[in-house]
Amino acid sequence: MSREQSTVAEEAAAGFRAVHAKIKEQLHRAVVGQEAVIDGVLTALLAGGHVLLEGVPGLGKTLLVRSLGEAVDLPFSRIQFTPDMMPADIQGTNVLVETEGGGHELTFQKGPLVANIVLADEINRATPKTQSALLEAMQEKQITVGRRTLELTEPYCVMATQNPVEQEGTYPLPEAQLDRFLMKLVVGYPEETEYHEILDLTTGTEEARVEAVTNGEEIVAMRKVVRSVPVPRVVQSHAVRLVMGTQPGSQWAPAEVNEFVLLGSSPRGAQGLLLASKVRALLDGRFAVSADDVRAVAPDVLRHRVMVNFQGQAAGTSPDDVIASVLAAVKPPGGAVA
Amino acid sequence: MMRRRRLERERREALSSDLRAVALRGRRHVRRRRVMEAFPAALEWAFPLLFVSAGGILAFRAVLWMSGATAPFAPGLLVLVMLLPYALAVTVRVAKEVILPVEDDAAFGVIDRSLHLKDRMAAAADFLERDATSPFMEAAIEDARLRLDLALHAELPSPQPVVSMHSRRWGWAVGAAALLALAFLIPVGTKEATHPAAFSAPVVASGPLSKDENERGAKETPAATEKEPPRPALRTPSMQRSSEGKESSDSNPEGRPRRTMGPTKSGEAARAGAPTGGAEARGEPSDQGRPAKGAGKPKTRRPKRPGSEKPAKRAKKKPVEDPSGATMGQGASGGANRNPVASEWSSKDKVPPGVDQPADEDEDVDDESEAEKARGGLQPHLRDRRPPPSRDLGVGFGNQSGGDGRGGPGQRKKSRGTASLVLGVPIPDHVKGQVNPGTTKITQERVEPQPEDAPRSRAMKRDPRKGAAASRWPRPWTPWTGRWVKRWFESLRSKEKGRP
Repeated sequence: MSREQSTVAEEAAAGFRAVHAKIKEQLHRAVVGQEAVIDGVLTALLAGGHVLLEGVPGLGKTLLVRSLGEAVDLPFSRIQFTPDMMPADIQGTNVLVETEGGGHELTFQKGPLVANIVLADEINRATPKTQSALLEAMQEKQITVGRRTLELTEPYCVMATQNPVEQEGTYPLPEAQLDRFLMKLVVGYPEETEYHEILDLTTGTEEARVEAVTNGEEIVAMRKVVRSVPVPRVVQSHAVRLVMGTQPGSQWAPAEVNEFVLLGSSPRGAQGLLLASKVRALLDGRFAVSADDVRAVAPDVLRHRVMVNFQGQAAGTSPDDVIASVLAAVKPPGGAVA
Repeated sequence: MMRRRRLERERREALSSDLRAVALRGRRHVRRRRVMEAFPAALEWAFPLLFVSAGGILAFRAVLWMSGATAPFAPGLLVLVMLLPYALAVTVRVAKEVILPVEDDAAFGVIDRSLHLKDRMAAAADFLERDATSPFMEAAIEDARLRLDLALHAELPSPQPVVSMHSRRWGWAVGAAALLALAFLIPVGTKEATHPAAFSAPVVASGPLSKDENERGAKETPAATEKEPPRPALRTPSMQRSSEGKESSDSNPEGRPRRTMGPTKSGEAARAGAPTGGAEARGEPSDQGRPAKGAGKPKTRRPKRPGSEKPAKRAKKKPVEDPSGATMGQGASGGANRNPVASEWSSKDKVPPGVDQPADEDEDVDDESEAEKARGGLQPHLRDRRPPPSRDLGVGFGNQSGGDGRGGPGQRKKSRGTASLVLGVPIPDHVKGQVNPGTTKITQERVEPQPEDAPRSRAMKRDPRKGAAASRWPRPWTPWTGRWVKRWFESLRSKEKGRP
């Protein structure tokens, strides 16, 4: 009985890894390097979360998300956020159309938010009013316009980008919205060897083509596989302690957190830690989450949930530094190994 | 079917027992690691005890020395007595750490971490205890079963002791060593050595004396040295110096110069032995308190060097001034036939071509300030043969000087009145060739922002509020009060109705 059960799990995990490898291979056709970012984006997609990509222009953020939409064969829409954009511009609105009989009627015209993979480009350029229109879509997977509520089809994933340098004329994302992103990935510059590949790929006559290797149903099934990965109690405790470690005043918070952190992670951070860890465990060929998985995904999952106070900013402490201090203070079960 | 279930149960039990063995191994390793971590820490922790023990030994030996008794114990035994409480404290401390129970999570965790098993053992042990298992849990258990051999038999990395040399407690250890060394320096046991002089004085060499030492010993009678111990504190420096001079002349018959280390006039005694400078060494009073050399003499101005480049340079740099026709209070009448338009400032602004004058050079000002320094700021400008500056501010009101605020022929404006305070009154600059105050320098200070303490919001559980939020005044009327007031007014009105 147990053998049969374990065989089922092994097959599901093997299928998961195979599809993941196929998607990744297609993405690498278009995107050179950025291994960690690709892994992070796929982790968020398969864990059922949303991603915030932060990086300077020209690093391939938009290309990555568009290629992902093509690889998973899902409707993809891109919204370029601007300060004058209104919620109706992204959600959709009722428009007056002429009927066949010559009459007129109000018809709901869907906005770009109604898709499966949404690229919210430069999300911090939109006003808070428009940004908040994303909240319902991201959390409830539905949009409400007037009296009409439209269910968004699964898998639904918002991938937002923001530029860390040009902060003038932008509206920083509110904490409530930041918390809804499963991960915040920092996109860095490519390596020297990767530059050659990028130039060969983009300045020649041949165009990189991404083929669809899976579909929406398979992605939904993969999400179910992810959810069925068990978490040992000791590992769950470790995840909880890591999240509590980011909260000033808690028993697991190191001195740096008490001094420099204004706001720590919410329980959503613990949920995100475990979901992302499950994907990592599956990809590593394991059937249960380990504390190492939790620690590995902690920077990406907790980075945007930690708010550094004025003292921290003056001391040059970043959220990544805070998370590093939490990881150093909260030891995994069995302690650190030399 | 039953047989299959039984086999399955047996397999699970076997796995459970293996996992218990793994946990036992992990516990042992955790304890070993605790010892390795706790031992250096305990050694450091007990250093103050070592210090106290060493202090005790020092006190003990000091008492023995004061009383003149002999030491009842050998020094080695004393050291052992000192180390005994220290060792006991360290042992207790380490034992306290070791006997703490090791939880299963920590035991499995140390095996998983040491052998890079990614919490497989901990997960399997956890899932085996659950009533219902999912396919993934079963797969995780099977996965752990495959790695049991590794967990049971693979060599674990041996823990290394961690010694922190930066701990402040090492100061106690150094202090203890110092106290112990001091304790054993006290000569306990020999009666001759217990004399304070013998303790403080250096040990006299037992070998034959040198020729000089013999001579010195012959001059100094033993009775004098015993009856009158030297009292250097009561001797004045002059006395000391004179005696030193005598000594030096006595002990140095060849007249060889020798340096002495007196508090003042150091080195002058060396000249005392010399044939020409002998008088200086004989009790000459100190120079302290005397006025400085040459202070009483009339101060003569240092003559300027004939070859000094400054006047020539000034003459070279200073253009020939073109006195303007405007008198501007200088009292000069020779300017009548000169250009009345060219003011003094405009003439100063004129820089002859070819003369490269940096903006920040102003030698006139430097020279004046130097001259003022040389005069000590007391004497008037007699050297300049110029009339002294008038006290009259010359701000108008019939004053014939033109009201330029200069109050004299000097170039510097001396106005101290309202005119100098009012913005918009141009105050000519003293820098030649520029009408403005000169090159503007902006100094920017780059200071890093410093953090300041500010209240932080702390995450804490808040209970619902109990009782009233605050007292409100005037209190709102209760229905009963309202009715009572209404009735009172109605009765008042009814009485008024009866009146005409």
